[in-house]
Amino acid sequence: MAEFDEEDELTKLKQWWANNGRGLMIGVTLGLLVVAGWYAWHWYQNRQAKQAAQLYSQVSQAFGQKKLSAGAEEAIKSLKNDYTSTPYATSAALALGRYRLKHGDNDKAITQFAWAVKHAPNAGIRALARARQARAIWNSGHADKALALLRNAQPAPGFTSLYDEIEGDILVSEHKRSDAHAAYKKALATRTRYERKHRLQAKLKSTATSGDNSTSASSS
Amino acid sequence: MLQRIRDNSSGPLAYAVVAVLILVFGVWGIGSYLTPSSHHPVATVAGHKISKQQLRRTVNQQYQQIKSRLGKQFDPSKISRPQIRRSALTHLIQSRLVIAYAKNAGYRISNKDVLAALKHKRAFQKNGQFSTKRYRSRLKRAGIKPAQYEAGIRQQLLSRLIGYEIQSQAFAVPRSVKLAYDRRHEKRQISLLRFDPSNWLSGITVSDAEIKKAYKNANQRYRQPPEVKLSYVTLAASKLNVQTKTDKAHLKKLYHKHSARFKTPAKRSGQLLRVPIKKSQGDAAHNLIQKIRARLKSGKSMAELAHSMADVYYRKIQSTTQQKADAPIAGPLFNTPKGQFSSPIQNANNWFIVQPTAVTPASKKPFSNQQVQNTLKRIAEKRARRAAFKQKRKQLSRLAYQAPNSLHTIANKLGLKIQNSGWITRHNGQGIGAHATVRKAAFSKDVRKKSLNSKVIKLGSKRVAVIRVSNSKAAQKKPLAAVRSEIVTHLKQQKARAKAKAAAQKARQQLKSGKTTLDALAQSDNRISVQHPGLVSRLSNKLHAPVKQAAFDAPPPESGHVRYALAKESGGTVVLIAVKKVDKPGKPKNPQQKHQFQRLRQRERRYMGSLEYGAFSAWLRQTRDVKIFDKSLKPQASSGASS
Repeated sequence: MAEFDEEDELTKLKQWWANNGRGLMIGVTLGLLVVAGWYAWHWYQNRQAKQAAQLYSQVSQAFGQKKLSAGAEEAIKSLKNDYTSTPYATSAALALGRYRLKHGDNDKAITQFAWAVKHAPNAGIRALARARQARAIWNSGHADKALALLRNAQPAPGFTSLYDEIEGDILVSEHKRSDAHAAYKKALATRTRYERKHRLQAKLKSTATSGDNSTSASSS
Repeated sequence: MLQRIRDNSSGPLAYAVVAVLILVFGVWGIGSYLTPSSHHPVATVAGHKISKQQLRRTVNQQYQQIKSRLGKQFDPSKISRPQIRRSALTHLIQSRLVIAYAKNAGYRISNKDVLAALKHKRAFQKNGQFSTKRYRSRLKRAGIKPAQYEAGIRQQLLSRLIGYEIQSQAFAVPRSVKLAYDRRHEKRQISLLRFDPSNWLSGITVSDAEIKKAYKNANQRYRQPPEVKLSYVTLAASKLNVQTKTDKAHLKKLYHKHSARFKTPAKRSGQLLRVPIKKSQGDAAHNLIQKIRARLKSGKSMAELAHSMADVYYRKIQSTTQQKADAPIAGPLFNTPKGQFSSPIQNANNWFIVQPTAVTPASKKPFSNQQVQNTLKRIAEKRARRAAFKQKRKQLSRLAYQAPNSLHTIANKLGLKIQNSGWITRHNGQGIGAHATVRKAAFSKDVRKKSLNSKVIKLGSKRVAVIRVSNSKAAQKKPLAAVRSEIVTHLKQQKARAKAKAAAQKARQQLKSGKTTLDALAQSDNRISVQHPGLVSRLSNKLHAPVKQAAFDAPPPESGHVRYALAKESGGTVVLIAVKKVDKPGKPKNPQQKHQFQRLRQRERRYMGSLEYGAFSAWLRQTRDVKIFDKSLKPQASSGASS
């Protein structure tokens, strides 16, 4: 009797496999393909990041020696064209922007910062690049354009205080002391307890006019 | 039922379930078994747990950093443990946020970077070079696997990467540097009216009612601090009677153990040639030193060669031990046979060739030497005394704990004399009360409130004490009669200061209305003095700090209107400051000004870097999921708090 049952079970199993075996194999293969795809994608990303890191290391070395060699310039170009999705592309643009500015080439610096704003991998780096772009524009003598760039942008959370302080600096250089004072005041209000305040407080005091409550009560 | 299961476990849905299961177990399943879990986290940052253990480790690190930074000024009672815990957690959260960000963004730390970081660690260096053997042995001793340690280094580098990137790319635009330069180097033409309160003292009277009121209202002033008298026993190594073993066998053992003390190291003198390595001409220097060595071997003298060749310097080496010789030449001087030339040796800036010319071999005084015998006896006595002191100190500590209500047991068992001190306050005392550690113990809860013996207190390198309070006086207000004159003086000074301030404010009003001048005011009232310091810069030390601060905080005068500000010097003198003119420094012209401008540029660059990194960190904190579970660890101020 038991023998008969086993025979019966085996027949049923074979029948089940004949009906469903193909589908099961397709399912398993699909699953394996998804896993393989997932690993392949990560392998590709990792390879891109490694290659970009290597290129960026050349760039860093060149800037460390304060000399932009042809090789370094080529590496930056490659990072910007072939590795745009990696953070190193924006880093390279920002570093090049600083180099150009240092060597008095303001327009080229602004171009680099603008590229970084456009291709930044996230809102934080974008906000940082925009702040640098605004300062470079200010340095080129276009205070109004720099102010517009800062004011029209919705800064990423955390960047408000930095933007306001830069705005204050620009306004001071334009001899708009009370506007600058208001900007510094805003900057101080949004500065977190982790950030430096002392210098900002000094700027706030130095732009105070007699009517400002925030300045020393004893001056007039 | 089995049939039902079989029937339902077929079809596209079942295959999809199987595929998902494979995916889940294949990709994520194993990872969870390999990742170390952290129970009871104090916080989570973007899903990553920060354990209590990690926090404790960081707190200890920060505590040790503060301790080593403050050195002798370190006072544990002034350190707020909760504040350090909060600061440590902030540090851990920040570092975790940056690591998570850097990983997600696709930053990579290469093996080359990790290796470079390891090579810089002094703990793994031997003779200034990285030693793989030492690296492995140190890690083995600490019970850490190299892979684990290297992963930690990788994380550390990753956590610093973003900050380094942002700060190294930061810049200061010339316009902002000029603003800072103007602010720092502007000069202000100022005049001062000084109102010294002592000039308003005459004629001031103080009534009895005022005195009583001041006495009544003073809570801390005019109080006698709490005082205690102590009974104590001291144990000093120098006063112990010890039996010293001076037999030959014992002294011989000591002779071998302290053999270095009886040795005179070898000394050598010699001469050397030095070739400086000029920037980017390292090969030229190397070629030159090789050429020199060849000529030396052919019989030329060092002095002659140095005389005939440019950029080659000769020096005699006076008789020295290996330990005292300069680092790069010590090895070759002592390893090269007398009269021969060493191979060229290089340090960061020079190449050298060394020739030992005289050798005094090392020597050792014999055991029988009388001086050696005396030294050994002294060592033996010192060791015996140290051992006896250690043993008695242990006994003292045990007895102080076992018989906490009296010093008599300790005194009897250890043969110590109970002594008594005079009155001691928390901050002052004579005799044993002069020791801060004794005062601290005397006013501790156990000793003062519970009248127990103290623990063993260290008084010096080989002297300790146990104390207990024999008499105490609580803090109390001094009687009015005893402090009356003090109160009168204080009230008079208070009134004089108020009058001087009122006079200064009145003078400011008069000056603002244009009815008078500073000189006229000073002439009309001999209690006021006038000063004209003229043009003053922020860096000048002509003025007291608060006066200078107020003078430069005042808004600049506009359209000929003088600005006035009030300040108070530390002595209480009220100063009315008139700012008449502000001179901006103009463009930096001479080398000194240009240098100052450059320094400011660096400062501004660093400032911008720290602001940018601060903003970026704030962005990370505000956009990532940070949870702190322990309420006491949450930031106290809400502004910009992470969660």
